[in-house]
Amino acid sequence: MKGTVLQFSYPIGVALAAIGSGLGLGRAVGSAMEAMGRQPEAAGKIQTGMIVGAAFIEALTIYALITVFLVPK
Amino acid sequence: MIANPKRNRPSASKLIAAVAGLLVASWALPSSAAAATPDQGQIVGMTQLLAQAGDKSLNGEPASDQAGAEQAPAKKKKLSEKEVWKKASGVPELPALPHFLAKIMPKKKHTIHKWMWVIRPVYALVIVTLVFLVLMGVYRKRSILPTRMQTAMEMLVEGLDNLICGILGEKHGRKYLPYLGALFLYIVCLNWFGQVPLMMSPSSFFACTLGLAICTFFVVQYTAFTKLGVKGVVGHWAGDPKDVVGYCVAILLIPLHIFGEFLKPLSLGLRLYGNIYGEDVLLGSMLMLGIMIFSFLPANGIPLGFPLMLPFQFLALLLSTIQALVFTLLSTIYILMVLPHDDHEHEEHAETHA
Repeated sequence: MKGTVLQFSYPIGVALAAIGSGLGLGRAVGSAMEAMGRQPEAAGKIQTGMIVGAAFIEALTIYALITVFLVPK
Repeated sequence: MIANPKRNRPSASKLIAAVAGLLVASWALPSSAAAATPDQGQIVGMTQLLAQAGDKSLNGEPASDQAGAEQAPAKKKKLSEKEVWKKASGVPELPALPHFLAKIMPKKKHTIHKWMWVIRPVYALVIVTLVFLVLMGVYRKRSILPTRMQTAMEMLVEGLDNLICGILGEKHGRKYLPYLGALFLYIVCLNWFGQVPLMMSPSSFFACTLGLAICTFFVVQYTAFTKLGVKGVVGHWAGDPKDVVGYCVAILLIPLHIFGEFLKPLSLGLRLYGNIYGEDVLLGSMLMLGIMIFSFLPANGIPLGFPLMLPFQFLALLLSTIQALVFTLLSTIYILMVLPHDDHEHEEHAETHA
């Protein structure tokens, strides 16, 4: 499938997954910032939770990226 | 006496020297990679290249070896080394010891590829040995007045203790702290050692991360079956039915939950594998770009490369730590979900009373 237009499906698939994770991460980090603003002394715990949540959301994009690697050329 | 706050801060000149040394030393990797590639900017998927070296139809001996060219049978197409490199267009990877060995001893490419399944666990064993030696050394020399190394290790263990006992509670947390703490430390070391020159991180292979996830799977299932009993586990899978509607829905819920139980280690392994292998590919691509920058120079094959991948190496270190933390936290939460729930209510009552 190297010389055809079908090879565009790899980057388009990853880009769609990236859109979704961008929206999700924006919401998560935005809520974290807001919570940190409300209660600055809990900022450490909120930050830890934000990082972990961000890693989960990011993983979904990584799953889409893996499909590019796992297909033998 | 008031301690001098400036006593332990490194001087400005030392910091500048360290940063300058780092910038100079970071030219080593792209330059060596540029010297190792025949055509500028072709750090191709080495695993595919080594696999094709074993493929008899490609005849992957370099064409610069004139004796080999004359002995080749007339039927097989003779490919020059540049063509072999161009044909093996895989994903660019960060070059490590097997890649450089394959360059130094090009006749042994097939052997190196056959031995990759040994080379990869050897890296993991080397990392485990180093970590074990460091930790045993610190443990043996422990004293009431701790050295800096001992303090650092104690900080590490205490941080992990807070993290895990904060989720699992005091009683259960201490029981699972050895496994989960070792898991975190091991995964952090696996990921970080990939950035050491000439080493690959074993967690950039799916087999390694899937193995770690299967370990967690066994720990979780063993906990579930010993704490809840078989009846409790099946009830947990069926969603704890309480009335007739619950029992009817249970028939649907059980296969769904069993499927989910098998999916959890798969997602754990895939997450870690994708992140670490993706970082390697990113670094490889940046390395390739750094070499191709100098392709406008007239002499082809100048061993010089721009260190474009330096900021991405720092990003790789940071993200590897976060991924190890995520793996450990997810394992903790999976263990939490199969522990009996009434323990937590008792603990919360005890905390509110205290």
